[in-house]
Amino acid sequence: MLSIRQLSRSFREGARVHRVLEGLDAQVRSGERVAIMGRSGSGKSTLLNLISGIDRADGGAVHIDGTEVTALGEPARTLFRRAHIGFVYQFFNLIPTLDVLDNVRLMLELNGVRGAPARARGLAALAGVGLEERAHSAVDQLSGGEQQRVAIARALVHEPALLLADEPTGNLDEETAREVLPVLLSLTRARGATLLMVTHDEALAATADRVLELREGRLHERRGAPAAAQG
Amino acid sequence: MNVLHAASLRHLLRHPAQLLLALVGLVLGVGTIVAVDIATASARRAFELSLEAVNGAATHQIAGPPGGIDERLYVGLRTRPRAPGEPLLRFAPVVSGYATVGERVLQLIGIDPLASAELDGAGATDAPGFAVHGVREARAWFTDPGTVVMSSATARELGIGADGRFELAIGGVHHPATVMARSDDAGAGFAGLIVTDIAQAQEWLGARGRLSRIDVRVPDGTPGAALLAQLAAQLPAGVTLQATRAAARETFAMTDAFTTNLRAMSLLALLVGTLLIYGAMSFAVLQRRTIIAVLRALGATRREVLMMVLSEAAVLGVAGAVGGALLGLLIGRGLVGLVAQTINDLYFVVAVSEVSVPPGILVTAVAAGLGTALVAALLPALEVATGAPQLALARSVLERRALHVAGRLALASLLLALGAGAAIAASSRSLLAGFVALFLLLLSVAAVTPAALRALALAVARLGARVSPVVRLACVDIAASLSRTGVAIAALGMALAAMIGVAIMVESFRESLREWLIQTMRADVYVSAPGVSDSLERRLDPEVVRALLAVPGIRAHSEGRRVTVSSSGGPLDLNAVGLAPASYAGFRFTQGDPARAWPQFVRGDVLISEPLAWRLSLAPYDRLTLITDSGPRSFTVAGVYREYGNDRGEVLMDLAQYRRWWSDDGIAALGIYLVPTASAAQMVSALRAATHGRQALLIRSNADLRALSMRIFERTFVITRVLYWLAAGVAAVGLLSALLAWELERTRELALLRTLGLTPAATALLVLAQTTFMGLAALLAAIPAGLLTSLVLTEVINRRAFGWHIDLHLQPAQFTNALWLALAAALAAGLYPAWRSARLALAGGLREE
Amino acid sequence: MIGARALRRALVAISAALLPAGAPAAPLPERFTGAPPAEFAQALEVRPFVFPRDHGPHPEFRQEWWYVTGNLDATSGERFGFELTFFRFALAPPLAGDAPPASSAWRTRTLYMAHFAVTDVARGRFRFMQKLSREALGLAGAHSAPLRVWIDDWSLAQAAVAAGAGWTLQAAQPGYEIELTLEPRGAPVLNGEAGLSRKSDEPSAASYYYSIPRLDVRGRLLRDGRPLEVRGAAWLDREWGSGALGARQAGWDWFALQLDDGSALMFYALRDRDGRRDPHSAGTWTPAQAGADAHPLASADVAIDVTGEWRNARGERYPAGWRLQVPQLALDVSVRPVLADQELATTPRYWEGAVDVAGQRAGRSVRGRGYVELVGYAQER
Repeated sequence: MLSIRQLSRSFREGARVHRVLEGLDAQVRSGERVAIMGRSGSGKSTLLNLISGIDRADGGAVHIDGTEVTALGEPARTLFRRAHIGFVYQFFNLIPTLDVLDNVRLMLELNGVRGAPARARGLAALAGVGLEERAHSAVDQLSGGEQQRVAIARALVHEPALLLADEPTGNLDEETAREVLPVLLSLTRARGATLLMVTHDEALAATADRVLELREGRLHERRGAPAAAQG
Repeated sequence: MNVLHAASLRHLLRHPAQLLLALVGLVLGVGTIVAVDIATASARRAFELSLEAVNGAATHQIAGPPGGIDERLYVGLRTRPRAPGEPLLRFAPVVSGYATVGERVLQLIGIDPLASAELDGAGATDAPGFAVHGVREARAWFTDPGTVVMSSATARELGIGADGRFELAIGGVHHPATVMARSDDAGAGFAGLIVTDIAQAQEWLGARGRLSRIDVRVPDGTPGAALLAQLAAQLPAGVTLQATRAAARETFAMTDAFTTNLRAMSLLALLVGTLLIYGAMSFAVLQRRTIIAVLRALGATRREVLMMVLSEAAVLGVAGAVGGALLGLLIGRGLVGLVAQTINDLYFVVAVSEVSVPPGILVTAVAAGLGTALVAALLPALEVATGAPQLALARSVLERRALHVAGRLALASLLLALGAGAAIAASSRSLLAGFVALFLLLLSVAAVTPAALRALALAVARLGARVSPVVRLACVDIAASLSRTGVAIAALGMALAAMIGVAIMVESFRESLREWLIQTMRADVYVSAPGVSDSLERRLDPEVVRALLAVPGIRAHSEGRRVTVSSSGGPLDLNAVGLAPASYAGFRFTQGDPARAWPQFVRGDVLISEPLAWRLSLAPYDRLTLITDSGPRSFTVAGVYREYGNDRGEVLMDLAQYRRWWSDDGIAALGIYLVPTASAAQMVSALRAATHGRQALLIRSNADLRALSMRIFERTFVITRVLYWLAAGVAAVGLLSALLAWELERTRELALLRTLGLTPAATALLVLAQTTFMGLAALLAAIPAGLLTSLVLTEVINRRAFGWHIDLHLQPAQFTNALWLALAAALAAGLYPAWRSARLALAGGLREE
Repeated sequence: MIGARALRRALVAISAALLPAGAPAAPLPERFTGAPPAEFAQALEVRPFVFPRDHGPHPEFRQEWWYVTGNLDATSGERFGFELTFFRFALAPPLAGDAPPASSAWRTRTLYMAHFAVTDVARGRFRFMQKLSREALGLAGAHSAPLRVWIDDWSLAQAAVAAGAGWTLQAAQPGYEIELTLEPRGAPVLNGEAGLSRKSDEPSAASYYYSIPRLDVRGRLLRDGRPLEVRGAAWLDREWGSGALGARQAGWDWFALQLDDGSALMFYALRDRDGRRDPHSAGTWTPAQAGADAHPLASADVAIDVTGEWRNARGERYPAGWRLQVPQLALDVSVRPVLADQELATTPRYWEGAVDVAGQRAGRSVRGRGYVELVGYAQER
């Protein structure tokens, strides 16, 4: 469902050009769980930004379910993103001025679902992460694990085909991470969504179907074989 | 610089836009104050200079009844035998009036240069340094008719050519004149002045045998009081001796109510500025809460933190003061013309040729700027200095605190409003108390505006929540932003309330004036001699009056003479009228019974206008002492009538009575009633034809004169409008600054929304909708407050300043300016953040701080 | 302040322009050479003098003055000198007929100026004051029958309509006032050619000029408000004409000396721009004997040597001591100022002061008092 070809992106730092991705190729099947590892600064977040259309590539193409995201203009990319992609961040990134339910409902509203159906689906999504009791709490009154669970509910409530997770447990202690992770994995699987997660956490990586390593601007299959070769 | 200050300074410098905008608010506020000070001071200075130029070294002046002083008094003073050893007094005669050259009205001064030079001389003689011109000039001055002297600048302004010939008109009669000498270095006092020989002035002004006043110089170091008492004792009845400065003060004091109003308007701008500084400072402090908490955790004392914040404010204040002083100089130059125009329209002729900067202006500016900044910073400084050094406060805690503050502000608003009411109730005449009440009321508006906005935003959020989290997000954001934007919103609300209040006041005044004009101006055609209202030369030639009244079609006529007379309470305007039967109905009594008052009036009582009744605290049956030609005489007040033409008030006296007590048989104006078949337009032409070649008179139909009165009215309010636009400008800048700061702060949030899928256009729209909502909410709070403000302005301020009763007139148009301002400020303030939010670089937007 | 001062300067400039500036008792100032004298009557021929009529004004001539100086002794023993001078100056000849009815009473073509100076020898003080006024409304003027000349409350007047009637003087300035009566000791003396005094080759530069060389003075002088009884002798000069000084003439030294033998000497030495004496300088000798005629002195008859010098505060030099020799009268006297500074800082500046006289007359020692006037030594600014 996700196909990346010859993707490249470089950043300018003064006179120096820093090539982050150089002709990166990857194929991810529908429903597959893929972990992306790599050292800090290897370009993992850049890759997620390019896939979701937040950032624009210098060259190459990203196809998601047959749509060439990299060929879309700005509004179209935003519209595509909100319909097909969900996000989970290391720092949760909940909107502090909205309560828990509204944070979730926001994604539905952006996709045109309003009123009672939205409320029902939002509450259902919260129930899915075990937080329906806290629907009307202020987000900063939740613990870190609870906040990340709200973020997961928000990321999945509109049933995206692709869930991007950037260090989803990076800001949680081990115990909490052990609570949150199954929620993420099971919900993703239950909805048949494809999961692409960036992580340093070997334990998390171990839950993935495949582990790709980002080195020198390209993805490499763990055990040394290029990922593309297995595609 | 120590590390503490370096840390804080770096923070401020990292947010230059915010700093700049706070500074702009302060500069505008201080600038407005300085500008008004400069404009008023320049007008005052120009007035003093022209007096000084004419008075020279005179310490006192002998002034007389409206018809002037008999010149023989002067001769007597100079030639009378003196007691042995009696100190020498110096005297110089002055005949003054007004002349029109083209469109311009100039003061005409007739002097005896020999006496003036003697009066000005330093010692027994004053010979050194004379520029000797020669006999030709002396001969021209004394023997050539029409010889005048003026400054080169005035001659240039009047377009007088090298031959010096020009024509001046006095009381509608044209005379040839020649400029004999132009003074290049005459200075400001000489501006707008035509100086001629006293003989020429008497002839031109039709004041043969009369002097306007006699300047007196009492020598230094003599027992002046005894000498003056002795001199005063020699003066005939109706002639008074007065210190020159006192006379000048008295004259300029006429404008007190006007200048006080100006100052109050300028204070409004500063008050708005104060709120902005407060907003900027508390925002700056809020942003640095973490830094300051760290500093406190590391061991900085409360005092040090307090001093850090206050010293920043001081730097900001001084910078604002200096900028404000400079800006004030600029705006002041613009305002001078408006102030002078208004003074010319309402009080007396003053030609302001140079901007004079009062010596204390920098002190005023620094005091205003520094004081404002320190006061504004004190609260946030105290809060951060005394608070526990918490490193991080949950957002919801901050907001609960904001909610708490909003509640307290609402309470404060109530208390301020009560204070305003108390200030009005506790005083009956004090204008100062009126202004205190006005400012308390405006502060109350300021205090309640954020609370009102919050309530409104939350209400809409609650309603909108069912519909859409985005609406809710937008509204909740607004409510939550009040810790940042509240002060700017408050300032905007205050400025809007002031704007609405002034608009209603001006409109009500205009309507009251219009109604009054319709009621008062009963005659069909008005004839008057051109010139400044109460000057002597403004009289109709008796021959011309006869010719005018002989024109067929006249049913009846009123006669009027307006003069200034002395009274126990200083100079008063006296309007002596011989009324046509139909004219009586033109007076609307506010006190006294017309049925009783009019017969008494004919028998010698006087009527007084509302402003005079207020100013002198007079009511029917009170007595008013006027200095007649035969000495003081007390007149009974028979009634008080409504009058908007003269803010100092006037005494209305029967013309026959006036002539009985004052030797002046002139008429300055006629009101002509037509027979039913005649038309006003035809009558105007017929009257013009009758006066042609004799006296150029102002002959206007009722409608024309009314239109002219309204035009002058509009002109006198221009300065008020300018000032309230300045205050509004300050508020707009403040809102812009606050919204920018707010938008900068929520960059992350907007970036997140964009990441989640909000399109750039929708994001921009969201931001604009939010700022517009804020502007409209401020307007909503300002409308009732503006109504209250207008009540205070009309019922308290105007009443106490001028004694006027103004009927309130409400019209939607009075609110439109405020609406436009609110929309414009909100949209202007929202545009840049909206544009920014649409162009957010998302990739970096979500990085943690 | 600046503006006001500038305006006053402008006004003062106007009044300065009006100053007759003709120095007292002397020929006409060069400043007026440009004015057309033809509109006025001219002093071209000898005319009969009739008194008291000729004590009064001559408005057909352009300028005229009444000039009194005198030396006084107070009963306290203190000595004083005084000068009281009235000038009349016509800007234009009088209009024929009455003024138009619409005219202001202030309309005038004639101005008056007066100087009043007191020399207080004991206190070493010299005080002066100037008055300027227009002839209008009775502020200033002159009339005969009886004679009265005045500005404000300063006046010179005759008590009765008689040639030899007494005169009264009245003037006051801060610190000094005088109220004096003057009794002439003899008839007026006509100077020059029977009263026609020619000041240069230019015929128009002449005036009618007479003096009363000695009048007995008594009256009061008030110093700082306290009266002092005074007695002394005064000198009266009267002159009128329409002409002006010659272009080369720079000034003059004028002597009016009263000797204790009863005789009197008047002499004016005109100077040209190089400081040389002008041949038109002249004087009059009035002998002591009653009935003896006065006779004129020509320039060559009188030799003057300057024996002293005084500088004013501006550094300008005045002579301050003279030796006068008149061989035909066997007169040789020295003349010394009683006070160095008796300069009037008016426009023009001039020195007019009381002097002492001592020397020989026909082999006998003689003393006297008098007044000297020095014009043209100071720069006009």
